[in-house]
Amino acid sequence: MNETAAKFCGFDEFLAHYEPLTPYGRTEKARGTFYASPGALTLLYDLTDAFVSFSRNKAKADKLSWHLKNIPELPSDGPASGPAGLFLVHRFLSNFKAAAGLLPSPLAGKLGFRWTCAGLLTLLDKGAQSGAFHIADSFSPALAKARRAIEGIDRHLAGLRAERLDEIRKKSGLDFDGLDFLVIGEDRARCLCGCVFTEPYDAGRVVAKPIMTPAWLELAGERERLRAEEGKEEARACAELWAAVTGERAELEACEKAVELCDRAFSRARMAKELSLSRPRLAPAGSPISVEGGRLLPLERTLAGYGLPYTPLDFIFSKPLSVIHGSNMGGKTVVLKTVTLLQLAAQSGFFVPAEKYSAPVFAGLAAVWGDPDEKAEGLSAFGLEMEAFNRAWSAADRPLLLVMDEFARTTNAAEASALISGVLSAAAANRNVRLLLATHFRVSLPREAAALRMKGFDTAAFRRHYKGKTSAGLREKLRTINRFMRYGLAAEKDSAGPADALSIAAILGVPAPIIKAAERSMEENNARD
Amino acid sequence: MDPIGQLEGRTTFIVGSRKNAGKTTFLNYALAARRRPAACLSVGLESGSPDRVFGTPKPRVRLRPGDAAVVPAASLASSDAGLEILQVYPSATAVGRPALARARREGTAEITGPSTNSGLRGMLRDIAAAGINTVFVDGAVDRITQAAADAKAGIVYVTRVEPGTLSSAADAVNLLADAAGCPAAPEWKAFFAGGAAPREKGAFAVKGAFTSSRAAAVPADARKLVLEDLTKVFVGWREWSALRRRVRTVFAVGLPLKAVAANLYNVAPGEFERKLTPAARAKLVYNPYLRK
Repeated sequence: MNETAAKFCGFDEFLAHYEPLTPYGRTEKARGTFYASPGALTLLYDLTDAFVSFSRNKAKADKLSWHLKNIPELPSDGPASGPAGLFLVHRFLSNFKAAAGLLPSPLAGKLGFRWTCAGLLTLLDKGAQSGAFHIADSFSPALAKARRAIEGIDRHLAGLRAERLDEIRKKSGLDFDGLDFLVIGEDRARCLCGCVFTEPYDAGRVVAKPIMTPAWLELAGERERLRAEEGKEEARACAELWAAVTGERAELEACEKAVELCDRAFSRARMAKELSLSRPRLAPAGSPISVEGGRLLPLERTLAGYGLPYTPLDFIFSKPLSVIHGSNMGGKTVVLKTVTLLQLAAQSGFFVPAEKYSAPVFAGLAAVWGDPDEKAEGLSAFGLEMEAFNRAWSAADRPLLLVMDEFARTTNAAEASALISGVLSAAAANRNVRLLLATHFRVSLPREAAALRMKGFDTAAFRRHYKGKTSAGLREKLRTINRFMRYGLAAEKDSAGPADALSIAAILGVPAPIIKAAERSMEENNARD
Repeated sequence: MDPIGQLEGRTTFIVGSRKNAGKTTFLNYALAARRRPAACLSVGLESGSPDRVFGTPKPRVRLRPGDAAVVPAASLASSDAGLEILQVYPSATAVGRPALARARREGTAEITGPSTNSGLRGMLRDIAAAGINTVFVDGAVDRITQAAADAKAGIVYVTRVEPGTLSSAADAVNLLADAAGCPAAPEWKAFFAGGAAPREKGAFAVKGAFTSSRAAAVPADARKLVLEDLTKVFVGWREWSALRRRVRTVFAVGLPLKAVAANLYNVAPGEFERKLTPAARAKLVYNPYLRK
């Protein structure tokens, strides 16, 4: 249901600016939580506000970003993850501790960002050096002893090997020069009996490996035994460390929750700064939806690409139902998309692209519109639209913000108007539904509905300015329309509404004879009426 | 030519003509012969799922103290190189988490690698951050392009030559040496990444694999053929050389061929060399373990 609304308003484009720093934040982003609880939203807004203030100290904010980026996800497979898992726990705790030291106490308190694992970090620190981690000698005296013995044996083995290879070189001229084996001719190998062990390579050659002395072989066997002992001691130390980690599972889980919450709020605060977002106000149920300086970000970016200014929108929807009429290209859809974006952003815990935004919290948000991507076997555009409406309406048993753009536009005017009337009366009877509907069709409205219209195209100003001139390319045409379009919402006083479609068609380059004929037809119709 | 000296201080992809061509053996030779600390990892199918899942032996390398390798985290305990962990990567394959680890003493380790190109870039970044700039990547040619472009990498091509494959092996080496000699045209990189093609009269660009059918579609009046990189060439040597005679060929991403390591089985060196072009012969090194 919320997905239709997200697609309608281009929410993904908004969400692309939200870049959590930790795996926990990224998982939450992928989950895409829609908050229906004012309490949860207020907490997230408060934390975001706190991070907006915190981020004014750039040096501290950069340090916090760095530590959060370096926080890994704790291994879900626990002790089975072995030393690699301990590395992750150590890295998690080191960065958590550093991040905790950066946060002011009140903010850390609200986040639950409390440093409680000092003992565990001190223990793991014994295996850490400059960010690297291993099961260090200091974890077990037996381990240290085994490693010292291996080190001594390795030195001894290297000496014996060098001696033996030197002996082989002197005897046969064969120089292994640090290599484990050589490929030599079969004939030559025959003369090296007792020096090298051979295996076939091809028809005339063999792989030759040096035969080491009994002393070397004995020592190598001892090394194997010590290696096994070392492995056993490492496994024991690893198990003991994991027991310590598991003993602090509750504290670690609390740290994970704090990291997620911190990342959520901190990343939202960075996004608020980047996009100049403001904190929404959550109003009681039934309150007006009020917007000042609302911006539909995807459209703002598109217009900027054309070098056109974007007009932020101001509007208030006071009644449970709002029916919006207006010019073609007058901004009806933009108003609906803007309010959808603002509400969806607000209920996803984000600050919003508006100077001020106030709205109640809904349990769901749905948009019914002519989604060009929607396809279903055997259903026409009209059928798909009705199907989309049914899906949205099925959620009207809880508070629902329902946005409908040009509903039933693919059928005839009489039946479309009748359908819209039906939807309006059903919505008027359902206190859960807050309906915003944009249409060209005129219908009688129930008393719960407000009739609104876009201010539309200022034909008089356009004529004064241009006096018959025509504009050229699409960019110029859009610039012209944009310049004279008044993107505001007003209460509709009469039922006729503005008639500026012909002016806009003319600007967009529809041939003059067609426009003239259309104007004559309108005049005749008006005279008849 | 000092085949190993020229690989120090850079990332080298060791690619093979086929399975068991001797890539890992060459990698171990390179590790034995280099002078500075090095890092190694493997990419492509052999480090991904199939071989691992079906239990085929995994490549093992010999490390010196200070060397680094990307190893399966589950195999850390089985290495005798006293590995310390520098980074652990999220698991994306059946093999489990890969870890970048540094040897604290001489020993062997099993190597693995990333499952994505971005993962490969991340690992190369971490290796550089660990202060190691000689990197050997044992791996599939299809995974080279992006990372190579970033890392200014080179290629060592390892080929196994037997009497039955003498001609085809020589053709493959000739083609590779010739393609590696084609100029780079970095201005076309954006086009292959999905952007617009530079306005260049007579240029004909082919995205993806350059196969015989695509070679046949190169217009007769084309003055320049643009391909993404030499790993996308899937035509035979004869077809390629005929095409090269008629049209200038460039690659958006240039991949320098550092050496061709030939492992000859029942084939005399002269026999193989006679089938090679001068450009290919100039890159040739024989099995470095071979002694007369």
